[in-house]
Amino acid sequence: MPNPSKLHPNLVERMQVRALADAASLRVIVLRRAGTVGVAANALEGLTETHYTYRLIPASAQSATVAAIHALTERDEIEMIWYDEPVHALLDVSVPLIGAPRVWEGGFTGKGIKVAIVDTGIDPNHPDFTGRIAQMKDFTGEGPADNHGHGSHVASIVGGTGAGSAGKYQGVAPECVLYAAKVLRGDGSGSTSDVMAGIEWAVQQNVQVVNMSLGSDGACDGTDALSVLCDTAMSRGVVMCIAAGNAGPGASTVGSPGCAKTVITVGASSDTDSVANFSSRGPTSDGRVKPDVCFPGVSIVAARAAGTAMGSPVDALYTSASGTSMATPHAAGTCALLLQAKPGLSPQQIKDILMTTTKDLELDPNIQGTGRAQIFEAYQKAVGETPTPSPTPVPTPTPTPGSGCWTMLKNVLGGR
Amino acid sequence: MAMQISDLKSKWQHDPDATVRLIVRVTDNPSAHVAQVEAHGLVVRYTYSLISALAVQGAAAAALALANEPWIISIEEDKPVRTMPMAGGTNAKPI
Repeated sequence: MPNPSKLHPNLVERMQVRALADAASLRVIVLRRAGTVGVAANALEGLTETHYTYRLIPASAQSATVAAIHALTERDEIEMIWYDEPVHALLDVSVPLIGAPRVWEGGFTGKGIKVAIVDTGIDPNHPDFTGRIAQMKDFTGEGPADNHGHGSHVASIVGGTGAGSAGKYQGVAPECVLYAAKVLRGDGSGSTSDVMAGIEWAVQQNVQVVNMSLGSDGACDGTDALSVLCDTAMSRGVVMCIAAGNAGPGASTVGSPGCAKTVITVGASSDTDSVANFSSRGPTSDGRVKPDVCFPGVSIVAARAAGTAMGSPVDALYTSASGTSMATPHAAGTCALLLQAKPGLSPQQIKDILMTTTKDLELDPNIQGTGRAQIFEAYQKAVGETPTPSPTPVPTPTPTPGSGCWTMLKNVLGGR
Repeated sequence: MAMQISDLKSKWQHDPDATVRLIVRVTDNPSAHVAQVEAHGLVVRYTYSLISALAVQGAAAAALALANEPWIISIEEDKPVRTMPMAGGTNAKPI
């Protein structure tokens, strides 16, 4: 009989929350009793691969199906099984992961494309934004500077230069032109009416892309005023990239304006291409599939506004944060690249291109949309190039997938 | 899901002195209705152009009267919105 006491709570949660089928495969860390021999890959059906064997403790990192994990718990020599938690997908990982540098090589960095960040403002003195902000407008009464940190983080994912990190934390479209509509106060909250006013201001500035890493609670059907306004902006030629929300993993958790009918609604994935548990799920309350697409949004290191402590600060200039808030600016930056590469694309064309060039994560559409975006493939489709096999492997995230603290032991000990 | 206007009216009737903030969608050019809204004692915070709508603030009793105007399409509460970040770690939980 399976022995659930040998399953660490992080693994139980992973299996329960995602309601994984027996055949679903996970990366796990298997700890056995001292002096015993590990269970080799293929020695058990569903135990498919041993990634590392550790020396400091009697453990190994393995891929196993849910059924195999339960079977392992029946073995006397097995003491504990953990889920191999992924760690930090830095901006220097997430941007290559989705293929942005390959588009940059073609000369497309979002140069001249106007992108509005409708958020908590931007820190204009951060080195990553030097000379990059065209306009700032305050709708909160607090002044346009970012006294929360969220907007600066988001803006740097869209188009930060990475100047404060010698280029390490460069955004997706590092030469786009930024517009900041401050609609959320220093506590990160605001009102729908201010957000609507901020969008209208951005449209009046002739921006081509709007990033909205914000929303309200509760399922919706896309008929509320904010959603309708966002759809109208799309119809006027402005690409609206909107966060799905962080109310997952339950169904029908996409709030307004993520539920708007024509916008690009963005869910969050990890550097190992799993959809984050927190990422809101569809369908909308009128039965439409959401999100539309996923972008990286787990532990993203990007700009930290002066005097703020949002997320987990890395140093004086950068902080780490997770959320569909962080996934959405990857999408907005991508849109800027596509618009530079193929001027005249309509918002709907861009949405279609993004959604038809994803990597299918083989999850329900109401979890992943069509999958995790691939910028280079989207670029090829936008400019009409025939897709060709990648000349180099897809950049490997650093640390590598499945690189929780346990896997770090491998780096120290030279495991396997 | 947005509250039905009948639910909003019940709420306003229950506490007519409460200050409410609303988004009001109208049949035509919202600028043409600013004076009418103000005549009900409400303050117009924004007049939108992408959609025919106004953001207003004032007493619930005034909103009750406004809701009876024939050029009103819908009224919804000016709901709070917020950023969508999580904590920085990989074990982050929803806020």
